[in-house]
Amino acid sequence: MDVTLGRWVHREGALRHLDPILIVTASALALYGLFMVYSATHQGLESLGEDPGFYLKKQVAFLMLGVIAMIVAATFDYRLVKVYAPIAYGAVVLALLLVLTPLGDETAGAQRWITLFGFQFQPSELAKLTVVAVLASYLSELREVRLEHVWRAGFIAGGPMALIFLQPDIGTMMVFGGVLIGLLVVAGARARHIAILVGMALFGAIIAFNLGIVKDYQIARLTSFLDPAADPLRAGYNRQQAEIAIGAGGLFGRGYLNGTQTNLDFVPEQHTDFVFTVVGEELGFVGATGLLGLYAILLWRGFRTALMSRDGFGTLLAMGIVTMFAFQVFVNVGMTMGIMPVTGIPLPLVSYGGTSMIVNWIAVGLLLNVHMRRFK
Amino acid sequence: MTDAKLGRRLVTVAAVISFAFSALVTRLWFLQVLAAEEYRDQATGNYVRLIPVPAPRGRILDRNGRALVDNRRAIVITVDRQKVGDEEALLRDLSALLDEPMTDLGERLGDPDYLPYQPVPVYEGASETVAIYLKEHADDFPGVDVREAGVRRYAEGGLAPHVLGYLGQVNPEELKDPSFVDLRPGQLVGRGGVEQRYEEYLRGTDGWLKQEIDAQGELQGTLGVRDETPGNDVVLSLDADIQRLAEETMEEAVSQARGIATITGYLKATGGAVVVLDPNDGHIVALASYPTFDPELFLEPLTSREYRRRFLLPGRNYPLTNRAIAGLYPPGSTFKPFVAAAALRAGYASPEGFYPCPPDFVVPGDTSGTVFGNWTDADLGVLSFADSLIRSCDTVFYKWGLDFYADRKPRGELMQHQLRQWGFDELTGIDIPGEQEGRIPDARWKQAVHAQYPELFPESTWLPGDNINMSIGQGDVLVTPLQLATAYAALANGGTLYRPQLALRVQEPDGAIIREFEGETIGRINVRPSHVAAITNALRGVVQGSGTAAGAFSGWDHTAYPVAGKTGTSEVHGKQPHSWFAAYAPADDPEFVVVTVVEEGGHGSQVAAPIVRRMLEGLLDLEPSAFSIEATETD
Repeated sequence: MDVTLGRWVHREGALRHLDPILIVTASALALYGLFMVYSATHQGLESLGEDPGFYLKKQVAFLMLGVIAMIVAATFDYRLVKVYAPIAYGAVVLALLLVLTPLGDETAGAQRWITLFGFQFQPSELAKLTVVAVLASYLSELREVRLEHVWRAGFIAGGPMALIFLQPDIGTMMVFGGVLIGLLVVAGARARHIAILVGMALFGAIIAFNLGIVKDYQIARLTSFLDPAADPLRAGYNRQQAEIAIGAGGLFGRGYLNGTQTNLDFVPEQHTDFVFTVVGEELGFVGATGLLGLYAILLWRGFRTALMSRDGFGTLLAMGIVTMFAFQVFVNVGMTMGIMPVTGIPLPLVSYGGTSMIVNWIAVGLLLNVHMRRFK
Repeated sequence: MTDAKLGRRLVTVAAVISFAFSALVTRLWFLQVLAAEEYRDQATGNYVRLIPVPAPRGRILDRNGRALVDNRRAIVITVDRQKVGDEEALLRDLSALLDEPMTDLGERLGDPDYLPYQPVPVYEGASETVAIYLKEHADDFPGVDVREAGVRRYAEGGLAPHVLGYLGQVNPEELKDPSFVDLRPGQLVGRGGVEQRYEEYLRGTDGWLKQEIDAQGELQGTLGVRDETPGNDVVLSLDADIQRLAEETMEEAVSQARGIATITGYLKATGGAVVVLDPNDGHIVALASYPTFDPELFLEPLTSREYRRRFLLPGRNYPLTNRAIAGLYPPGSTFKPFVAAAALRAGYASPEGFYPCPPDFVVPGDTSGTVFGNWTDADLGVLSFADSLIRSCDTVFYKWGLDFYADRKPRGELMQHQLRQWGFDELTGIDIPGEQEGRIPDARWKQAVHAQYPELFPESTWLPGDNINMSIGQGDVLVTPLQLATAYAALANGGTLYRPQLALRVQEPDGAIIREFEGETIGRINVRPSHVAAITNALRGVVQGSGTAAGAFSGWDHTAYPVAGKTGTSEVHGKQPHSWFAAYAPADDPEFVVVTVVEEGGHGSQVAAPIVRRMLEGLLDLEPSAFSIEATETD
């Protein structure tokens, strides 16, 4: 009897072993994001005579697409990812190349978008998750991680990184670096070897700066966090206004839809990269730490999944996703508070944007997948 | 991947992430709890906005305090783009109401110079009825507001536009200039004339309203006000009555002159100028240029087609040119008093001397057959020094010109030197822009133009004929009417050259004086009082008896109002002669200098002298005679 019941449980096990906490947390973050996107955009849209819910509605549509993508990503066995990752990798590299051609769309001095079948998407967002999968797949096959393997992993990540660097999108490129180092640590690479890789990367970066490949505005943005007040209307302006917005929020915030920094458009790109400033201003310390708490739960569930995974690939895939989320949250929130340079990184699941929304939900789906199939 | 110690490696990554998150929370604590107060103040500063309040521009007054330019209130319709729902519908409604093309309104509404929350003026000069209609139907016109603004008004009906100038939008180049630092794009600044020259006094300082707005962008209250400071008034030495007399007389003279038939056809009388100034300090009483223009045209921007049509077509005779300061003409015989002064000073002439006045003059020893003729074919016999000027005998002056040429080795270019000290060949420094320099030709100039235009000027060396032509104000001599008036003023006052000056003083709107402009001496002329007296005495004879202008001054009371004057008929190749007259009165103690030129206006005695007579009647408070052109054709 026990056996039959056990067999039944085992057969239907995958669904029964869903991680409800992860699902609830990710949904809560997305819901939080909807409120914040509306707050950041409704006033501006209204003053232009547009529908104040325009961005909100689009974001809801992205969210629904994201949830469908999550379900798909959770359904098939995650080990298939290992098979398809190299193909996806090739496709992503191709897309990143296309972005740099005149087919790519330019916004604010950077070419980041490409339009396919009437849909605009950002290949660099897709590349993040693809590189996580390829690296996890590669590293999971190794018995021992030697220096040559570190180099090879570096090259796997380095290709898309170089293409993203050319767009230029230094923020996303840094996420790749964070994920690469995180996965090398988890896979058991020696600290010394990782240090050599990081050293070479820094050397490459210095050369890139000196050869003028990096545009002036990027250097200015990256360095302006040293003294934002010195240049309040240029690169430091975003950061300074963002800091004022967050600081003005105080302990409990100024109330939803009542932030003056938010409503009067003092913070630029507030529904995308600077959405955390809306949280900080309108919901205060309580709301902001609440949001960070939700991320902490998300990361904890991912970490737990990595620990429980039945194989090395699952562990590495889960940790890759964890480091990806963690790095993005840290850099994004850090830049709005002036402790990290200003780079174009969205806040996962919260910022407005279709590609990043869908990709992040796929990542959540993969975590669920590894979690469900944790039994050998 | 290595399986050994996996747990430890995972914990390492987790520890790094935890550390990063605690750094974020610490920073949040600092910003939102410890420093929240300071940041909230800064955020508050962000929702205070400044609304500029334009300051009225100063007025321009005449010497008796009459406003030549002041401001009128115009009804301006503004649109606040943040409050407009359907922009196209609104523009359509406004277009119908104002009878203004929708595209024009839309273009102004799209002006990028205005910040998003600033109302944009889309129409100026709306009627009271329209204003009331808009106020009553405010709901149908969301974001539309009606306010009043100051616009230039030409109180004396467009008098002296060349002197006053007009206003135009400040251009991006000027905005970089430190003196325009407090201007915003689209604001008006002086263009030409007094408006431009005294911009610093006329332009006021705009005030502002400091308003608090809430998170919805709604007005909460006014936090502070800086009152606007109106611009200061500029008082000119111009006399509106005399200026009007000058402009009207010039117009009358031109229209009569165009009815006079000469051997070259009817007189064209394409333009002219009248200058009246006080010889005792250089202050200008009237400065008229013909043809004139309506300054009201510049209140709204002209299209380039309209501009060309009104001002640049040849048939319009270039009305924007201020001929009084920028018109260059050979002075003809009006130059003779200065040549006579030079000849007296050089010793070629004396007040007591007598000089032959044959109909022709040939340079002794010249075999080329060049003959310099007098203006009349009659042999006037031997003339006294005074009669040489009174009859304007060219051949007497030719001889003096040749004397200067003969002495060019020991004495250099003494003739030019003597003439230049009267202010010719350089800017007078009048306090409005656009003045021309004129020319006293010399050997260096001749060589230079020959090098530049060898076909136009085949001769490169200075010849006797150059001196001879210069002696009667011909050849390559060019003066502006203002230069000639300034020189006559120096003659009238006994040898002091004053800078011609329009502004008398700058005063605050309540009349408190900020700055006064005294007459400024720019030179003392090396001339003996006895020589000045001899010339003045001669010029008094010009307007009576056998003088060239006796006809124009027939019936004038010479005892009560002695006048010194000189006619001029200057020849320009291919054109009809320019008609000149220069005078000062009362001749024994001069108060006014009047100089008039009428381009292609025939003989000096015909058109210019009657204009000056009428001006003097106005200046001396006499009953103005009916204006009529003289039939006598004297030089």
